[in-house]
Amino acid sequence: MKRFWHTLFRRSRVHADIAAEIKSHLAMRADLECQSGLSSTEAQAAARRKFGNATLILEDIRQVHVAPFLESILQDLSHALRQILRNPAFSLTVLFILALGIGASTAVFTVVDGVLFRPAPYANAARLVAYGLKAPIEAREFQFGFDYLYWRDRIPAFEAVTSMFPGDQPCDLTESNPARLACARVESTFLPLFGVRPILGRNFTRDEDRPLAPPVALLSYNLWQTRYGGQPNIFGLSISLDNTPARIVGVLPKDFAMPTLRPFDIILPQQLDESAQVFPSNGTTLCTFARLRPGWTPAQAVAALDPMLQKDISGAPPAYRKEIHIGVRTLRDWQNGDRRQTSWVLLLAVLAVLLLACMNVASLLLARATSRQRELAMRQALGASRLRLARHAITESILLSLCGGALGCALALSLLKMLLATSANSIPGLTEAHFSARIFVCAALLSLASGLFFGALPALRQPTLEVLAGWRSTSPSRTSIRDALVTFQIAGSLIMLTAAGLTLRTLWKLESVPLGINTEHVVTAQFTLGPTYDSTRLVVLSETLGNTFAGSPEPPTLPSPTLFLPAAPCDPCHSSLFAFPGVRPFRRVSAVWCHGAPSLPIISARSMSGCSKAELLMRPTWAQTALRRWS
Amino acid sequence: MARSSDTLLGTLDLLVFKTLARGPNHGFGIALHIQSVSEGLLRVEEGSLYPALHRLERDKFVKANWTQTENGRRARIYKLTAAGRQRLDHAESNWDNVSKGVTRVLRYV
Repeated sequence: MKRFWHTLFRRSRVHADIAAEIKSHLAMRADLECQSGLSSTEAQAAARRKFGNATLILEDIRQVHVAPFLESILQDLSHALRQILRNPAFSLTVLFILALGIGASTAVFTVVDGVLFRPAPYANAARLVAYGLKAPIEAREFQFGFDYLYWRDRIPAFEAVTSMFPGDQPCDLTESNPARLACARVESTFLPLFGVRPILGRNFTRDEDRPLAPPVALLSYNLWQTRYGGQPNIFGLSISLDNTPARIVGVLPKDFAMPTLRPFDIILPQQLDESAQVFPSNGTTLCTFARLRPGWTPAQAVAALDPMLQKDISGAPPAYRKEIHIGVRTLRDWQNGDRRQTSWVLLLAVLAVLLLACMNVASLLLARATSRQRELAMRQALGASRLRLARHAITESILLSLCGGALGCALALSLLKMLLATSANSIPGLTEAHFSARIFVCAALLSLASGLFFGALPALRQPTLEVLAGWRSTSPSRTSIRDALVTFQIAGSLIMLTAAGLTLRTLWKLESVPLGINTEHVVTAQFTLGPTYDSTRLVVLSETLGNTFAGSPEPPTLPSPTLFLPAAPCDPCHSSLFAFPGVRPFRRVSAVWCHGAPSLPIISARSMSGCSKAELLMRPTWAQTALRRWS
Repeated sequence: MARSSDTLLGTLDLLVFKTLARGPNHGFGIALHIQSVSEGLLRVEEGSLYPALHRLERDKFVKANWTQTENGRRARIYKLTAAGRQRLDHAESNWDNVSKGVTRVLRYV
């Protein structure tokens, strides 16, 4: 340890100390020689003669104090640094290429890290699954309350099951300084299934999860910190949620995330009315999760569940039976869906870009190595071993790649910031992406790997001594490396270019797909309304707003004021189309209120029960598909 | 860090230890002492002495300090540490064995 310290930081100090000691030795020897009658000059010369090669001895002594390997690395580094600084144009080009490659890879890795590599933050995450019905209309598994309750204790594959209400559930903190919060409604078995314990207080009990039980709430760590200043005596405090007092029973851990990956502030008991879950049409849809028994796989669970489903729906029309399946997916698959595949494609694409960048740099370095052949041959002639020369070349390329990596990190950071600022909502999972130590390690590894990659090729070349004599040497093996590199590079670039072109074309095509809606000159505004706005009040409000707009002198930029109200009050828990021929639609159709929107050609509209004045309004492309399918 | 001090190669270390056992001394003094006490039979090369001293210092058998000598010269004075003393005892008995053994081998006809 001390030797490393000496090598790194006390080189000159050690050196000076030894030199002083030798000097003192020589002086004492000269003193002695003087006593035997020599003049002082002669005495000093004699002392030096007797001492021998002082430089060599000094070097020998110094070796005792330093770590020779480390020292040689330092030498390589300083030499590499000199080489880099000597040719700034070349170095900047290489750095630029590397920063682009590594920066892009790091940025993409940051985005896909959570999807591909980071495990779900729960105990026994590998055994956690989401299960339920799979229907073509909904990407994720779901269950009706009726089925959930009936199956709950009858599935041998599952150790424990739990459920929560799907979708985002806004709720309002109706206190002084009111706020709209994201509330999740979950069963009392929810937290135990995921192995999560509140850091403060407790989970709610089964009794508190029954309908009409006095409301209780669990706070997210974030809400506890920001709104309640992290006060420890929060337990038992009563807050007003949607005008109803609710008692706080606990605070959730900081790193807890909902399995749905949606942001949340408060967890409430779902208080599912079990007696009401008699028939699917009256019931609720639920997201359902389970912990597999050890030894069971999701596929085995599907095989075990399928007969139960077939028995359940044996009375349903065949068209319905054909469309409904059982789905059991690991939590991670369920969370990420097809994002996984997209992420892999993205990651591989960007790694290919990095590979191309490395090859670019490698050919640049090879070209330069040719011009430095004389120098290398000279060093070899002076006694540098082949290994040392190779090490030298690798040191230089790794130094370059690490600098490139640092630049790349900065690039990735700004890229990510830009992405977050411009399109945080349009790319799923982007908000979860953040810079962490993992990312930096990844960038460093990428840099090291690329440094080794493009440094190895020039390092493997052996300088021949002929070049010292001024002969041109172009051995066939040497040019063939470069030829192969260039060929590969061009082939790779061509493939990438084609792929990029196709992707761009797809994007462009997607942009120009007719939506059936004229979106030009349309501006949107959103109102956040309190829970007191039931459907009747909403209709009144919409009419008032519509009249206000209609009555006001129209500003030239707002030619046709149109008002949409969301489907939320109509169908608070789910908004998807669910209807099959021969079966009464048991989910209400997602609907929007529409007051004279001239740019929306309505193909088929129906009034839905329970949603007064609601009209089915779909994009023509969807509507046509729906009509084809169900009429 | 006993570097072959239990063989003949450890002789220099033994000589240094023995010299320093008399009292702290600088490199020049050690060389001079060995030469004069051995009546010129042993001459320690500076090229071996100083690296050896520094190695012993690194391994904490001796301690070095810059001090003024009586001639008014600044010199790096080496002093035996407790570990060095132990080492000396060990090396001395070891040397006895080695020299006895070598003598026996040489005397055997």
